Amino acid sequence: MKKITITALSLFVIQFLQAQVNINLSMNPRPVANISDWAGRRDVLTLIASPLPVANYPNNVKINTTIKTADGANVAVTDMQRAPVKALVRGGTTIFYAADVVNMQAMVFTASFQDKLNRTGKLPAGNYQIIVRLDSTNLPVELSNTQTKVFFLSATQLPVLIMPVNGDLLPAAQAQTAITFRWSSLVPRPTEPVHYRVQVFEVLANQTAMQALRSNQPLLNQEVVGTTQYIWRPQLSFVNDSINKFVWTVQSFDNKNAIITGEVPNGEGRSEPKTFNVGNPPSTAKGHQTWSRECECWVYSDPKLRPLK
Amino acid sequence: MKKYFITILILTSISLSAQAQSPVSISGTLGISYEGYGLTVNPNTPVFYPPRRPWNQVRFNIAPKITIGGLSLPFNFNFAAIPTNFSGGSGGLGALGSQNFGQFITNPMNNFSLNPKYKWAELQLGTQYLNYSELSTGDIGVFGVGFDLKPKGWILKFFTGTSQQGINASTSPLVPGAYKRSNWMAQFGREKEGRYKMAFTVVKGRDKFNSVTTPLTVNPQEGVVFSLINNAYFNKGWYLELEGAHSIFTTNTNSGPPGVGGASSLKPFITAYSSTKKDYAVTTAIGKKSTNFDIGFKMKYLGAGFITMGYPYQQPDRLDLTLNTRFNAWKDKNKNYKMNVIASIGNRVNNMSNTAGNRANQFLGNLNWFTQFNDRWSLNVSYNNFGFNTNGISGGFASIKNVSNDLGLNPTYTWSNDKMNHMLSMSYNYSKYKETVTPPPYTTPVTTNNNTHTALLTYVPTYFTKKITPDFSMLYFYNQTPVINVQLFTLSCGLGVPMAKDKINMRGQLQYTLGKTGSFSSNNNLIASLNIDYAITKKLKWSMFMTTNYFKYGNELGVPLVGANYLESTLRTGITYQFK
Repeated sequence: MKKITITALSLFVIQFLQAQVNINLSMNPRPVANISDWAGRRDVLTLIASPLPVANYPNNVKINTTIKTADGANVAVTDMQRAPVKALVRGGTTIFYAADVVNMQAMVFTASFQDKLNRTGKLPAGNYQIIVRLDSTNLPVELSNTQTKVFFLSATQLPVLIMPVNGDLLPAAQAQTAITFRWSSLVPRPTEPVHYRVQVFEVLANQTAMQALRSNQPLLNQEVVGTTQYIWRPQLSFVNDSINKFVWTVQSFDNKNAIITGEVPNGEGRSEPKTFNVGNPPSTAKGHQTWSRECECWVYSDPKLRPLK
Repeated sequence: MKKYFITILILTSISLSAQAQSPVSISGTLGISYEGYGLTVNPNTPVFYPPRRPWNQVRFNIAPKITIGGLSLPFNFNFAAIPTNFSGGSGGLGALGSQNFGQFITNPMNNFSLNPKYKWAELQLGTQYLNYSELSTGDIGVFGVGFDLKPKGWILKFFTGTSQQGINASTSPLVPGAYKRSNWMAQFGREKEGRYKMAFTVVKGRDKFNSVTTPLTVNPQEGVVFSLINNAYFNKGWYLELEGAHSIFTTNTNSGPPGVGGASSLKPFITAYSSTKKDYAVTTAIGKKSTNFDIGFKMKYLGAGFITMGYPYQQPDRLDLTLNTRFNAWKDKNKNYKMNVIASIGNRVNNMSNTAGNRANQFLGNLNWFTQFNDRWSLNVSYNNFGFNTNGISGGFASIKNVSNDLGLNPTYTWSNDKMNHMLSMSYNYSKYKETVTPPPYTTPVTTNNNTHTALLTYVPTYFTKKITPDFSMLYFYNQTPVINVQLFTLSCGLGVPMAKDKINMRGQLQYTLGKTGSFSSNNNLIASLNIDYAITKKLKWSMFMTTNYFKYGNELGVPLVGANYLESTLRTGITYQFK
């Protein structure tokens, strides 16, 4: 053990003495799951390069990055031929971000990870390590110390709307007092409470549910913290005989009020919307009807009866 | 904005008057409606109840259909004066309060379409919500031009246009902004009604990066979907529907070229970038449909990278399996069925790609069972079961298990004498919701029970000699959680009165709710509403709906809002002309 320690220390000292640049890598332990999104963000990682007191401080470098799984299997390495040349600030610190360190045009992924990345834009959920150093621009010479950080990747499953069941009909007398909304939790469930916004939009005549969602002011826009249920007292009147249609969704936010966008690329963090209806059975059909959630209409046991609307 | 409305109205009027001189027939409707909203809150600050409707809104519905021989010209000009967009690409336009002409035309709250049709040829002009297939496009409106041709069983469709205009981002009011999005879609195939359908579909959308002048928080995107539909319909109502689709989607067209081994371009349809992903989706349905018996199995798989601009809220990375049925049984003496049943069971698996923590399994079971025992008794039973399970404890995340059971019983008893008919309907619902969260190290599950009881009694007398139609109902609602209990008690009555030889139908309702939350003092809610429909002539109808809602809190909002109250009123009125 003693020999190993001494050898390791010696290697570190030799490397440090050879190094011309000192780098310090800070990595978000849970960055966004889409690797290609890293380039546009400053919250994924920061690499700070500072000059060491050497005479031959380099003007230009290439960033050599390796991504491995937690158990050390290679995920991606930088192709140094393709790696862009980066200039260092003379006499000062140089800051690099994810766009420079994990340059998608220069990273070569191993086949299985590349396949996953091409299909999903993401790597399989799990723990990874990132290893970074600076190399010279022409020869494979290490110019800095090596920094390793561990991070966890996981995409987010937005809540699924449970209740009211999609396309359901709620009796008017019941619904005008209270409507209970339930949805599944965000997965993976963050340790901090998730802020959900329950939003209900009225679907007006001549509108589709999606049109209503995209054009109307919500009748309900209620924040719910931590729990996945909300009892709404609509305070609406369903005095007319027609079926009143609504579309609802849940928007997820973290505890800093930032939208959790999930995997739906519209960036709104809204779960897939569902509809529900409020009304009463048509009295002239003498009860021989059942509400179909599929067509959101009445179906009749007697085929001679037709939807009254 | 006024000039747009006036121009449109004038153009429509000219079109109608010109057509009226020809031997043409006109059907459809013309209508205008107004909605006014009022809200008085006490105290004014702090804000405890924000307005939930626009203060004023005028909506126009100009939908005449002109028929000249075999040519039909259906107009659909359906638009509103004030933008109220809250979500989606136009979200925030409502807060900005103004929109330019392009934004007005493509605003999802407005439709301007004209679809001239002659035999098998249809020209599509203006806003179209085209549903090509379940995996390609169906949810978005595009303003543009296209056609739908069906000569001798062939299908040939094409449409191109703009689904949204560029909208600059703003921090106050908060407007996320949107890039101008151009879309085109095409479908080619063969179809024989009731026998088969085969169609190949391409749907493309692309954001124009320089369509905005302020940076947006969203990225410009581009995507194309190729889909193949094969549907077959057999004797005795059996069917098989199959659709497979492949999407190529770029989440950021500024992300630079793809890296080594990255997604490749498919020109001329799409150029690949480093954020481009390619994935598949499949949906299939097999079953039988008939008058008294339906059964069907449906499978839908959406890969994690399968994205189509035609369904912007579709959640990818999932497998849905559903088995549903509907049947009628038990005939009465008139050979009408007394019983009908609709039921389904389903399972959904999220995170099929294993890129989002644990896989989540969902089970969903529904049953609705209606029986008319005799002329007097009927019973409706409904049952919903929902289960959600993140299956395990890996990844260092909390394990989540939810189970929701809802049972509803709704017997109805009807009896009559020589003067009137009585209907007494009782309804009881029990909803049991149990959530179990087990955080690491997975030794101490935390279970939350959330149970709700709802009982409703409704009485509806119907007079044989009088035209008034009263109704009365009473409801008790009790929700029990470990934190707080909510109780609501509602009394409601309504009265319908026809007047002026049934030309006027008036219906009013009064509803009072007493609410109690935990140990807080009670809150009170009174809602009064009135609906009037007046047939001025056979073709001209006027309708009006008014409702007033008064709510007074107890002490649940705390100081300084003890006893806070609000009065909220809505008026909707409109006039509709029916051509035929």
